Amino acid sequence: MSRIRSKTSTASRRLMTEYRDLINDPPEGISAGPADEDNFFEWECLIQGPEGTPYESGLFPATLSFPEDYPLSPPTMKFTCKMWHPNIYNDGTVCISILHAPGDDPNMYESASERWSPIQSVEKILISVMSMLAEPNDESGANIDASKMWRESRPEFNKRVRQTIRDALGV
Amino acid sequence: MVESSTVTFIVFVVVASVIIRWIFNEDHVANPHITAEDETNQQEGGRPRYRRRGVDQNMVEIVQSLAPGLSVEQIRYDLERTGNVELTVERYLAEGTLPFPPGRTVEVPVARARETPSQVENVTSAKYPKVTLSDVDSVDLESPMTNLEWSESKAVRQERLKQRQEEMRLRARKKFLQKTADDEDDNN
Repeated sequence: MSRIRSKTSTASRRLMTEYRDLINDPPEGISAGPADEDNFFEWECLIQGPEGTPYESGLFPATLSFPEDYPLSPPTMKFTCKMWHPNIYNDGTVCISILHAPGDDPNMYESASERWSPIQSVEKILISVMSMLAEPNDESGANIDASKMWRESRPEFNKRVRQTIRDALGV
Repeated sequence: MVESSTVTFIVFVVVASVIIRWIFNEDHVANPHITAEDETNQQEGGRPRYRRRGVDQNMVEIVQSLAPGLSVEQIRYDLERTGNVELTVERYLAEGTLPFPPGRTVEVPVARARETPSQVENVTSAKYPKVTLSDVDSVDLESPMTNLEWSESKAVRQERLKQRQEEMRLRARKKFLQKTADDEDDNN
């Protein structure tokens, strides 16, 4: 019991520090923090679509859910708007190497250095997700249909992404 | 001499924490710190246990070694409430301080003072004007985003994050509408 409690308090303190850093020195195009500080383990994030990509001028909301033993284990990230991307599942869950612990590699192609470890951070996750939007990883097909469309008919892919941006922004 | 007293202290702390741990893992009947009064209360139907509890000098010292900024009165007061070093230390870590016993007039620490409601209102309304999605036209994309600033107050932080994300949404919306209009112009 007391071990669980001390684990959670380590996690809370770590999350508090990361939150403070994100407020004091926010990375361009990113905002993240606990929506309700009574639960420090659920964060709401906003990520701007990178310029010069189909996701340009989009703003995508997502949630980060942290485990009790954070930062030993990585959080999970899930977009709360509709996304069309080869590395994002239909339910919005992001499939990217930095969110996988070294022992847990569903795709068997990630090198250990790209994966989660306690030296990573929320900021690094969000920046990785931004570059994932810019450059989808064709090998890991979280969304097979989107992968296929991205490879074979780019104009159709772009149009579909455009629609998800409209929906997310409500315009 | 110095060394032997350090060793004595460490042994003392270890023994004390083992005893305390044992006491609070065992049934409370076995707890020698509980006064007769407490015991009657518990038997009478498990009221919340914040009656005065016996507090050792050891317990106070353990907490003080972790929280040197606190006065003995603060520590003793909270230990009397919790009867447990761990709980008191956790409260200190979570809140950054411990309350003073009632009746004592002490300066309120800065961080807490900022949480008074009137202050919260001032900070949020002055620096972070309320915006809603219907205000798209009022957004000036040329002007930089409002600078964020860390606040010690949970309520202020929460409000600022909300405002920030609202501002980002608003800007993104405006930018998208502008771009779409430009694209249509190009097509015509």
